Amino acid sequence: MSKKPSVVTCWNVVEAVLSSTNRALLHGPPGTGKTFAACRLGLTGDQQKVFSITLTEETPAAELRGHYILKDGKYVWHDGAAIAAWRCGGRLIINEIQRGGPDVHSLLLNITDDLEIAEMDLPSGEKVKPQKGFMCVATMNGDPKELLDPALLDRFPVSIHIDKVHPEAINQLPNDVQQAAEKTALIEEEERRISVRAWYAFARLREKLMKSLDEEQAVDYAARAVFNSRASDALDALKIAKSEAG
Amino acid sequence: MNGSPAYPLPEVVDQSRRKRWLIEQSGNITPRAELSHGVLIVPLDASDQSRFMRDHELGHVHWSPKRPDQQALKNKLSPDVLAAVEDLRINTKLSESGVDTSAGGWSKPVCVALAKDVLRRKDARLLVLMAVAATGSGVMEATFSDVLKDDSIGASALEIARLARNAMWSIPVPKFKDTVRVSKWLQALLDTGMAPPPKLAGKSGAGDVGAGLASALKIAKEAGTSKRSVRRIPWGKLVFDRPPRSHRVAGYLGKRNRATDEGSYPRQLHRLLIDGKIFRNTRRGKGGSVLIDASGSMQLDNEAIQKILNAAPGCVVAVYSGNTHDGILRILAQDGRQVDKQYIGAPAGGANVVDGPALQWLSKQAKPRIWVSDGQVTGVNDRMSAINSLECVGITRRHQIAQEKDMSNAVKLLARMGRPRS
Repeated sequence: MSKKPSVVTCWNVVEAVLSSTNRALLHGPPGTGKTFAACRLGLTGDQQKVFSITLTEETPAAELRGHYILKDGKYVWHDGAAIAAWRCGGRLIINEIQRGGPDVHSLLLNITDDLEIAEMDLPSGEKVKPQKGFMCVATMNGDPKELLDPALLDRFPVSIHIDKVHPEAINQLPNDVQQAAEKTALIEEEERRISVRAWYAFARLREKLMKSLDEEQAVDYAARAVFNSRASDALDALKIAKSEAG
Repeated sequence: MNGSPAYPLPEVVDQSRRKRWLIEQSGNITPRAELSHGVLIVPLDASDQSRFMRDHELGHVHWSPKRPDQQALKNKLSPDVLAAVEDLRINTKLSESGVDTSAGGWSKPVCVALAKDVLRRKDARLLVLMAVAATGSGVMEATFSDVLKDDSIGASALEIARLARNAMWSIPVPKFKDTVRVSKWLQALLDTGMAPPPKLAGKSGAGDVGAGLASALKIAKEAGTSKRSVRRIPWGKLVFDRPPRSHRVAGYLGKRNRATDEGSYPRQLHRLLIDGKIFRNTRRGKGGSVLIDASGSMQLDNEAIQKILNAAPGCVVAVYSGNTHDGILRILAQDGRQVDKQYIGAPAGGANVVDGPALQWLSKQAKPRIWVSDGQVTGVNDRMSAINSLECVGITRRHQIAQEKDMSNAVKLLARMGRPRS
């Protein structure tokens, strides 16, 4: 039995639960590592395939189910991400699940049904059922109770609120911006939030610019490029945070 | 570069576990950080002054306690004094951390107008607090300095602000406890500087508020700004010694004027329509109080103390000195009776240690009150501190106690006070 962590975070729960459920919804602010977790954590083995799709209002249901394609002068059936995952017992990752249109929404109700009863008749005439090992991980920003249809929400009994940036995402950052990234990525007001990606971009740019410019200039240019009008506030906050409190 | 609001990031500098901060545009409200509620009220435009204000409030989030008002209460400090010194600490710490503070919080014309307005009002306390709070704020500090330097009170305020900065940075990393330490020093200085000068017959007053502030500043400068010298030293325990007063003394000290409706020469014609008491009747004083510092630095001999006793008939006369942790105040004369010669002399060791409590005792005795001392006051272990010196001067000013440094001058003053004005 693994040792119980001293402070249980959402990521401890995600890691423990993801390999033991076939449907999970991860929701929370953007840039916290939800997609990363869905792709990497809790895979049942090295062989398990991962199929990923990011929904928009324009995404057709065919992207998930499949469609005919012209190949060597003939029309052949091509599985979409969901059916491909069904067939091989892989993992289907649906990013931004709340953004899907009505077509996608109807199909998702079918795809995320209980494994025992889920099945689908494809336009090719074939009947498919999910194979053992299939699981669906959906991610979204915002509150699912407000943004998701209750029927679809009911398909995800495991729904975890991500309120902390994934430690691995933070560890990729230089020490001086780690704490800032962790805190600003979770700011609720969208206009004030700075994502981990932005801090990562700043750190990378700073590092590259320092090869050709002096440190102060490199930091200033990188901050202006990434944070725009908030550059000076971000840099000043970093400088203040660096000194001992009290 | 776009023109979107420049939001500050209190989350980055906040060391508490607070998850949510509310940012409000300051507008007509003074920028401030409500630390206990997680609210930051700051200007959000892109100007350099607004950036300074945002950084200043972020500094409070990172370095200040949640409830400075409670700290002020706990340490018996005036909130405005604590706030000014904390502003000094935040500004200078921002600069020390590499944050550009050169723009200050207000533009130059605004600073000039504000400084001139306060100068016009001759509000010495406000001038000092303003100079202290503006320390380390780039343009603000420079502009205040330009406007205030030619005025006597303004120059004193600038000098006090300079000393406050030195006192704060007498250690490498000042914390909030150092704000409290410097605030106590500043409060003692202001209390002393603002108190009215004693007015005694036969002794000219020390002048206006400017002169009072200058004299307090002189004491502070002499004591220095090291961490040790701006920390208050506790006073020693004062023990009273009341030996038998076996000798009767004739005489009186001081005089008292009383308005009357009988007399030869009308001296108060303005009272004609008030109560008709246009004449003045001078009476003998019932006596005053004299406190003699008999510590080693005064180099008093018994003969000198006897001279004072002789020059102050009818007065309460006491002498005090101290050991390491305590001191004795011996009453030599009271109610027209004096002690025997064997009791005249330093009652304890050669240290001061109990100047504060001894002066407190003197402040409750009859007027006129005279303190014969060189002003070198000490607390326990005979340690000196600016706060203790200022505290004693403050007591003398608040309770109309005249200080005479020299024994012969004290005797002359007593003689003058004993002679009714012709």
